[in-house]
Amino acid sequence: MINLLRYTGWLSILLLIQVLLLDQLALFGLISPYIYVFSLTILPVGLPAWLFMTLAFGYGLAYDAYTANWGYHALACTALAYIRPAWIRWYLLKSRYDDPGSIRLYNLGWARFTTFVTPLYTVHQFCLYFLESMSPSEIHWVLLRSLAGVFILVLCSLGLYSTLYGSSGPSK
Amino acid sequence: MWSIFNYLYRIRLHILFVLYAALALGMIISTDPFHRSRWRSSMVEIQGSALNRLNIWRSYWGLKAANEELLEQLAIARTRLYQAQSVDSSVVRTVPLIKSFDSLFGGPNGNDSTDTLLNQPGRLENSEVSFSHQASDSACEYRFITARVVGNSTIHRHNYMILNRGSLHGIKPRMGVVGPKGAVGIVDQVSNNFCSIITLIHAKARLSAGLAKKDAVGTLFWEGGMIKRATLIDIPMHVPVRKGDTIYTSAYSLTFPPGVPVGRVHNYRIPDGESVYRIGVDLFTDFRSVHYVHLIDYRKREERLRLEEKIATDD
Repeated sequence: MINLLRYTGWLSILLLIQVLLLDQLALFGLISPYIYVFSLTILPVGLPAWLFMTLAFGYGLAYDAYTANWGYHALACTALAYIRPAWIRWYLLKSRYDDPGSIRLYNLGWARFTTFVTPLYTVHQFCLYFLESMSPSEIHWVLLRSLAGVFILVLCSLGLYSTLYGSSGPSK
Repeated sequence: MWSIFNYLYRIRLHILFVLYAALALGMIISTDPFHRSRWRSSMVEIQGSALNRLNIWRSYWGLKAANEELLEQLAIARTRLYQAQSVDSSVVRTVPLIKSFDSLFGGPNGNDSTDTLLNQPGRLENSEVSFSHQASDSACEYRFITARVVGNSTIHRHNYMILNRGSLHGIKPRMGVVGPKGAVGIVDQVSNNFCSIITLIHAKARLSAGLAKKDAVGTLFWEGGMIKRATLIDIPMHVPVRKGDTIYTSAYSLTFPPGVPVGRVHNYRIPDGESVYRIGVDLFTDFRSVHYVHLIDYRKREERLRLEEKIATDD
């Protein structure tokens, strides 16, 4: 119950920060740090995939409702949720974890956390900018924006990660 | 039968993804036509109210910039006052909008200060591009309505601004919007107290514009990418174009008066096999820092539209 409240709180707080503060930023006039995605990556790794995807779709839709551009973030978040189980399986094999439930974000450390979230952010950012562009001829521009977006997002996420788990150790 | 259910159960995640993706894509596509228009109109009011409250806080932190802008607006008002005093209210005067806009709004070249303009009234009398203007306000062809920007987006392909003026203040769709440095956009949706405008950095925005003192008019649009850079096409190749030339709105526009500064030529080329330029234009307006704007009410718009429709019907 406490975990449920904590995760709901994180989802809400980051969404509010996103719409009230970060949406007003346009770094180099091109990209905005979509830090709200961070709250999706900190959800428990053992969460059922269908539930995570539904949450991600709803969460993206909530952000779309604010920007009045329906569907863009909903689809980007859904794509993130879609590749997440496969990525976790691959990551488990690589990292020799026994089962998804044994992964704890606070045990990962910033380097492995970065490895864990970067592909997820890449899929999200690429989907988002490609949907905005909707033109294969602008793919180089989409890739450039996606890479820049992922870079900013990872930096912001590391800041949040160290705030969450950095000094005080695991928060149960 | 069970094997089918088993199979569907095994691929349930893929099915769910396809469903959600289709739903999201449907939303994206349906945001274009009629439904989007109706929805946006009601959202503008709600979003405007929320942003208006947020803007009170933001205004506090941006007081310095706002003050500077207010001073510029004051300069415009003073210049107009001078103009009104210096002419007989019953006589139709010709006002050089190119020079007056350059000077009134601080000038794209940055060297036409308002003080200089006020001290040299003769400068207002001579220009090649002009529009009809009467000193009597009721007979003015164009009416300017001041508005504050309460919401602004610059990072999307379709960028909008929300202004704190709506139908109760006389705002109508398709009215032009100018900022301190030049053209900003066109009114899209209007609610009672707010309106949304399509800025020049909106993928679907089109503006009739041309080069000063050259009888050539083209279409200006934004291709995405840099928010300072637009593209002007359809200027014939026989027209001399130089880097740094200023681009203004044309007389063909039903939205803007002719001579409103838009930007400056950054580069130009003639694509292979074409006889018209493709000109890169550095827009004067910095869309991230516009706080106050003027909406332009072209009072003869309906009359002109009716005439153009009649001509089209006769043809």
